[in-house]
Amino acid sequence: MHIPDGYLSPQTDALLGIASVIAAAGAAYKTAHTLRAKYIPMLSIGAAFSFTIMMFNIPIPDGTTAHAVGGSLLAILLGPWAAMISISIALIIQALFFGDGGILALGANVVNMAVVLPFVSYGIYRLVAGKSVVSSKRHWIGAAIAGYVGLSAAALCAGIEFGLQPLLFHTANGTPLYSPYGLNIAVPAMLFAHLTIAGPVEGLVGALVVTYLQRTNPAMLQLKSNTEKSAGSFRYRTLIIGLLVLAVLSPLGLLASGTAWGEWGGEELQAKFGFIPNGLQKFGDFWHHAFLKDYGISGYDHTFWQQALGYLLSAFFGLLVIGMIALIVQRFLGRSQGRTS
Amino acid sequence: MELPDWLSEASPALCRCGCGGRRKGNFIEKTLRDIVKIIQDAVFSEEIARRPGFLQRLDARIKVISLIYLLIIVNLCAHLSLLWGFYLVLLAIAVLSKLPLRQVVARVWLVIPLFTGIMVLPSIFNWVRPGDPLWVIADFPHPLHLGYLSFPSVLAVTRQGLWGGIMLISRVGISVSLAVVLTLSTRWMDFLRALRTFFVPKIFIMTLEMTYRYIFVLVSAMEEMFLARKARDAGQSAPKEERRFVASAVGGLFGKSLQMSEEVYWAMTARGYSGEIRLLKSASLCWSDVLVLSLVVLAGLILIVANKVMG
Repeated sequence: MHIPDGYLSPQTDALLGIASVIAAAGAAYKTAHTLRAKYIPMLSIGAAFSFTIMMFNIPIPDGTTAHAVGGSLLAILLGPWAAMISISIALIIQALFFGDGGILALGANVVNMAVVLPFVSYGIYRLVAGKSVVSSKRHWIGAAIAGYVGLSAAALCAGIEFGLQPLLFHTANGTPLYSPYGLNIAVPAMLFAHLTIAGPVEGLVGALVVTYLQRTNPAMLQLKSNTEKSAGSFRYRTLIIGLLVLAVLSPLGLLASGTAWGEWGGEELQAKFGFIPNGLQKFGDFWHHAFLKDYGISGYDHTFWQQALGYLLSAFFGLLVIGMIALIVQRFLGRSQGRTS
Repeated sequence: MELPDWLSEASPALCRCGCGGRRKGNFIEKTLRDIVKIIQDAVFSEEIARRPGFLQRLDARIKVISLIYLLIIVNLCAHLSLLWGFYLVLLAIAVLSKLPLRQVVARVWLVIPLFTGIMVLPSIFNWVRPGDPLWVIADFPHPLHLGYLSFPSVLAVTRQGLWGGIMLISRVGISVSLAVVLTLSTRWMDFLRALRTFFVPKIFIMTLEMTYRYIFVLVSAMEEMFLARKARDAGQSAPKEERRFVASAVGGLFGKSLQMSEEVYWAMTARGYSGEIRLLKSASLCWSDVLVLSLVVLAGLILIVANKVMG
C-alpha cells in the first residue's frame, strides 16, 4: 500500500501533505500534554517496532507468505495518537532510507496508513471490546475486525486518491498524466486486493497477538487505559474541533485543487475582492493560456462534466470517510471521558 | 554397519535451501533474508555516502531542498523528452559522484516497469479506458456482453493508454531514481541534521534519530528469535502453528520494546535528560553549495517553462 512518487499529482500530494501535517500537529499537541519527557524514548521505540512489524512474514493458506502493516495492532496497543506518530515515523524512514513509498507521496501514505488505519481500527476495537475484562473474547474479536476494516478503509482511501487522478489530470486527447484508472476501477481493485488478502492477514495478526498477550501478559493490553487515566484532563473538545477542521478541509481542498485553475480565475477574484492581484493576473494569463490549450475548447463540455462528477464524488467520499472517522473517535472519546471523570 | 532406513529417506526438512519441501519457501528463511537485506542496505548506503565525490561533498540541506523541489518538477512535467533529458543529466551526475550504477540503474528499472507495468497494463486497452485505437488486436462481429458488462466490438490498444502507461512508468522510475541518488550520497545522520534546519520540529527529529538506531536493535532481536526457531525446526510444522509462532514473536517483541523504552528513558534521565531537547548546530553553507542550489532552481524553472512551451 506504499504509494510511490509519480502515481499521484503533486497537487494531490501537497493537499494530503497538509492534511497529514495538521494531523501530526494534533498528535504533537495531544501527546505534549500527557506523557512529556518519557514520551520520546517510548515513541522512538514504538516507531522502530512498527517498522519491524512490517518485516514479519505470515504464512497464509496457499503456502506463500504475506506482510501485515501492523497499524491496527499498534493502535490497539499504544492508542491511536501514539500509533499515528509511530507509523508516520516508520513511513518516513522507509521512504527516505529504504525507498519504500514516495517522498512527495509521503503525505498520502501518512493519511492512509498512519491516520485512517489506526483511528478506524482503534474506534472499532473499542466499540467491540467495550468495557469487557481483558481476558474476554471480545478483545481479540475486536482486534480481528479492527484490523480487517481498518486496512480496508485505508485501501479505500488509496483507491479514491488513485481514482481521482485521471478525472483531474490528463492531456487534451485524454492521455492520463498520473495513475490511469478512474474511480470505477481503482476503488474496486484496491478494495478487492485488501478485502481478500491483506485485510484478513492484518486482522489475523491482530487477533493472534492479542490472544498471545491475553495469555501471557495481559497488563500490556491495558497500557492505553492506564496512561489515559494518569494523563487526567485532556481537552477533548480541542481534539474534536481539530478533527472536524481536518474533515472539512480535506474535501474542500480536493475541490479547490481541482477547480483552482478554471474557476478561481482573475474574473472571479475581481468580482469577490474588487481587484486582481498583479502577480495573479500575470500568472493567471500564463496558466489560462496553457489551460485552454491542454483541455481543448471543443472537448471542454465533456471533460467539464467528467470533472464536475469527479469533484462531487471526491467531496462526497472524502466527507463520508472522514465523517465516519470523526464520529467513531468522538464516540469513543465521549465514552472514555465518561469513564475517567 | 548399515544406515537405518529413516536416515536415508529424503525428508523435506533436509532440503538445503530451507524451503521445508515447499516450493514457495519457508517463512523463517524469508524473514531472515529480509532482515539481512535491510541491514545490508543500510551498511552499503552508509559506505557509499562516505566515499569522496561531488554529491557526497554537497551540504545535506541543499540536497534535501533540491530533492523535494526536483521531485515536484518531475511530477509536473508532462513531456517524455523533458523527463528523460532530466534523467540523463541526473545519471551523469551520479556517475561523476562514483555512485554504483548497478544500484542506481538496474534496481530501479528492473523493478519499477514490472510492478507499475502490470498495474498499468489493462489501461492501454480500449475496453478498460476508451481512446483512439492505435493497434487493433481483435475485431468481433458484434459488441460483447458479459453479465451486465458490455464491451465494444473492437479490442484495441489506445494511443492515450499506451502513452499514459509509458509516462507513468517513466515518471515513477525517474522519481525513484532521484530519491535513490540523493539518499545514497547522504549519510543518514546528515540527512536528519538537514531536516532539522527546515520545518521539522525538534521532537520529530530526535524521535527519528532514536528510531533509526533502535530499528537495528529490534531487528537483531527479531533475527535471534527466528534463528532460534530455525535451529529447533525439524520437519514441517502446520501453518497454524507457524502463524501462532509469528504472533508470539510480535507480542514478545512488543514486550521487549516497551521494557527497553523504559530502560532507555531511565538511562537518559541518569545522564541529565529533562525533556528539553538540545541539538548540535550545523555548519554554515559554503559558496559552492549556494551555486549548486541556484543551478538546481534554474534547471527546474527551465523544465517547467519548456513544458509550457511544448504545450
